Amino acid sequence: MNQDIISIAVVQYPGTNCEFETSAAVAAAGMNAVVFRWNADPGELSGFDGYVLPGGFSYQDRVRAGAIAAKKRITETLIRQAEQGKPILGICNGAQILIETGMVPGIVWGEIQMALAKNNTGDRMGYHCDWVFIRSEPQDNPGCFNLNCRSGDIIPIPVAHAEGRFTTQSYKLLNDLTRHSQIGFKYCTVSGEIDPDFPVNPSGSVLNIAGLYNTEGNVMAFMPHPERASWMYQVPMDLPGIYGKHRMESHLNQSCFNTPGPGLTIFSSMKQFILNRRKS
Amino acid sequence: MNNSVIIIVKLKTKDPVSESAFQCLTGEMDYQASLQSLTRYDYWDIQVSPGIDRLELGRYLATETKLFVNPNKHTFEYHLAESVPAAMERAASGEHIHRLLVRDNEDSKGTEVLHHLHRLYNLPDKIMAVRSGVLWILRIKAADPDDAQSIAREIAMTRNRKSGLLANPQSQTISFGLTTF
Repeated sequence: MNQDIISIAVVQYPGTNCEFETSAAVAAAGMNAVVFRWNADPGELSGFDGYVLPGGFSYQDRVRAGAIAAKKRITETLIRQAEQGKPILGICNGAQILIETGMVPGIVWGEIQMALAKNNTGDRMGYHCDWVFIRSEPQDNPGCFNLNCRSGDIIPIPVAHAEGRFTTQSYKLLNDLTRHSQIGFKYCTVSGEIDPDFPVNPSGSVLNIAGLYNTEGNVMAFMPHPERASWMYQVPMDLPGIYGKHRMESHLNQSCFNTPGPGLTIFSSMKQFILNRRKS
Repeated sequence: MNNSVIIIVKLKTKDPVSESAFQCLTGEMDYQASLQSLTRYDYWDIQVSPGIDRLELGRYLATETKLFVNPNKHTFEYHLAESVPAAMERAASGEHIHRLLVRDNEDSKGTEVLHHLHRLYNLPDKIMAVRSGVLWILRIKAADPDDAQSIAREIAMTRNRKSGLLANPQSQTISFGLTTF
């Protein structure tokens, strides 16, 4: 494989439906994206530098979102690649798959320690689709997908899910997640405050978790959709904050339309991580 | 729940969810020798106010409200909670039937249906609570009932990629039982 090219497998299970826009975002970050079907030879996966599990409804969310995909042979191969330190990003349904494999939070590797349960924010339940804000959390060793963010950076980003509530039965685990700096991103207000209530926390996620790492920081279960915020033209004009303002201005200046959006930082961080890994 | 009526709903056609679960358990996991069949039902536990004719209410809810049953695609039955029939599947020699009920710890579906029954069907005096769940019936080949029970528990409770599928214990609870729930 050409050392100058970074190759990312965008893994498509039956029912995945965000593989092409995710590939486009990966390409916009300067990496080569290949849509890799679940029934291709899993052995070929080892040639890639990193992996993205895009959003959708793998296996139609049968039994539980992500539950069937987690058991597939190709997923076993992904686990082996994660053990070698390669980055894996699970977006939305991809996040649900990672949680169901036990890769995230992975304090006991492979053991199911959390769930992405049905949204429940008190009065409101079910599917929710909107733009929200997430905050990059301070980490001793920034995780793979936070590398190009500063601690406290606020990123507007869309969410679209019905089962996105990070939850666990273990209070100790929640302490461990904080102690190990495994929380990469939290839902926050436009000014960065953590508010556990809807609509700031769109799913009722514990600790406002939007993105959660494994202990090594190379695998992240991420509920929002960065590929839907990777270009300025995807940002709504009425979005509060600087991106909305910038988008409003770009409405009058078409050259800004195709400039990077707030979500691209997730993919550019992945690229940075892979480059750093190659150097070390 | 003590004063409940149970509505059990099943697809008339082949159920893709139980089919996928069965294929996963026997094809990707290690249950091909033991798991003979897997059937799924929607299970509604409806707590009724005292003095209400539960069976009559069960009939009304199942046939009139369209919240539980779509007659074009579902079959259904309703029972008093204390008399749900134990055997809904038949076991051959050397096989054992295990029934387990998976429920979300935070039952948003049940809450939503209760809200609709109160608001749209004007039943706040008759219905006190609704709990939704999924009833799985496993036909298991095993040397003895204890073995079968242990396999059923393993299949139900997801602990890692190799063990369990039907419930995630971090967000769901499982009731095991061969008789009523």
